[in-house]
Amino acid sequence: MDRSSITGQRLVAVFLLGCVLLNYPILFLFNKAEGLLGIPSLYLYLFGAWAFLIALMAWLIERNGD
Amino acid sequence: MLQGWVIVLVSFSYLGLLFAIAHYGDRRADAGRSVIDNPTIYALSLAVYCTTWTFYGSVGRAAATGIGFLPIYLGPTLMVALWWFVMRKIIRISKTNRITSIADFVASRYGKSQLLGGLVTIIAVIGIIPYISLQLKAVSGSFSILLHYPDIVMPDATGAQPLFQDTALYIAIILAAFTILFGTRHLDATERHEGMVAAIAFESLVKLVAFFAVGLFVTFGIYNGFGDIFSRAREIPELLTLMTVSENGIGYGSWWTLTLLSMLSIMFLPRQFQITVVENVNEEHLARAIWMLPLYLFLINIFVLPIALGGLMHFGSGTVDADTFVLTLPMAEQRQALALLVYIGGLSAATGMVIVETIALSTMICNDLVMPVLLRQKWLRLTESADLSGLLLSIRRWAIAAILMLGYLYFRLAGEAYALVAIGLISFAAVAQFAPAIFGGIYWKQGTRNGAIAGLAAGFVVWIYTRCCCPRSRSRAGCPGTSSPTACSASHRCARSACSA
Repeated sequence: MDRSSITGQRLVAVFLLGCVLLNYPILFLFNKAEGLLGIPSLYLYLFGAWAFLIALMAWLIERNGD
Repeated sequence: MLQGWVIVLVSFSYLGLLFAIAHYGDRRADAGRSVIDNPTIYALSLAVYCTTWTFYGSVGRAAATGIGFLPIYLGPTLMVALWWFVMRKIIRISKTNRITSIADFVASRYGKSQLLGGLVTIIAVIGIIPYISLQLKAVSGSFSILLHYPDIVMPDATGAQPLFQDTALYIAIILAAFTILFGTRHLDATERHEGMVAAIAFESLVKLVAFFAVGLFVTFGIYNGFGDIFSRAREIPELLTLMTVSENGIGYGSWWTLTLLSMLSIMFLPRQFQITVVENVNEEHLARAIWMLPLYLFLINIFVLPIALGGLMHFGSGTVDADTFVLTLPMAEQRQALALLVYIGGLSAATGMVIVETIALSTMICNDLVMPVLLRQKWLRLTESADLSGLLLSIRRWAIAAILMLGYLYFRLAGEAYALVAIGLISFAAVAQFAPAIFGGIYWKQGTRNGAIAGLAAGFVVWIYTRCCCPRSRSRAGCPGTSSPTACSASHRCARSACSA
């Protein structure tokens, strides 16, 4: 029960982190058409940050289940 | 290969397959060996969030606003992180109180108020009609485009169809019949439909596979990977603006508005509530869904921008509607099998949405709107009769038929001229009205029934006003009285046609 509550709190932190990562002004830093290997940096950043958040949630949750 | 009869045959075979899966799921449930008692299947069924809006509309949106299609999926990703506490609580409350729909939930949080339940039902039904019409538009459009193979003819170009030759009407009738068969075969006191959930989880796989296939084909078949598409697009000035957030495309203001709207929609769309809460078998399943649902959304979105840019470069601007690129690109490259797969993917996206949404709405109409009124009519003596299940089932069947016909009507009057996403956003704005009453109902002990009614009614009035009556001239400056500029501008485009029609 205690462990579960801590996982929940960590997920709230992921939510807050996501609100910052996926919004102005951080988004503004990557708002360029140029990028890596021809892929625009905004696209690369958004999908990268998104994948990172998902991986973080998966790790926090599956670790709790063990 | 793509003659009319082939397409029709494949469509019906697909619907038959769904029916078989549902039947199997129900039989296993009766035998006590549930197929949906599995966190992965639960997560897949939650992906009913992705409709033809995602399947066809995202590419259209991306072709117009670039990355602006994305907040609709980022919002849910953020929201599900809070589900560990919030959704768990909603599921627990619902199981204890035997909640059958979102209207029932709101009503029960404010002293079983029938008035509140009825109000939520009315808002949900009226708010969701545009969303249903969007599915009809997408399916009938894709059918008519596929029918003209190898030519690529836009549905608009063939002119307005007379009523009885309109594919959308037949699709609405078939979907109504199918949903009635699917959802109202028998009455279950808990309003759970195990077979349906199994079929919906299967549909989520189908639409993901179909979209992924076309994405891989466009990105690596027509072009040489992501870098190639973006490099070529960068040389065209109009496409360059699609790669950044700008005031021409999507600004930061509407970015946040769309994120917020989608955060609320993933919880409060009647079909999401149905699948997440009412059909939930075991609350422990929620944990895996919290990361698997965002993963699904991530996967189905990777190829949206490449397809949009590929389509714009392939067809030039203005000849082919960007909402159809997913289908027209394989057709232009003579990939018939792929085009057919895409069509089936679109069909699965539409049927999943229509089935769950109309079942959820018909349950609300029956339990929270019609029955409370009927039970008050003393002369009907309904309280004395022992078995009401026949009456309940027929109310639901009529409700399903009525919802689909209203959706069709909306499509005829307003839907034809507008982009898929613009239509869907109207419904998102409508269900966002439920959020204060629900969050208040869960966490705020002193919140009152009258407050909830006042809030919902006020929100609904503003929604109606910005949708139908807000003068066009104000659209650039934003509508006064609404906190949602996107919903406002989306509604404007529709309002115009509704008035002219």
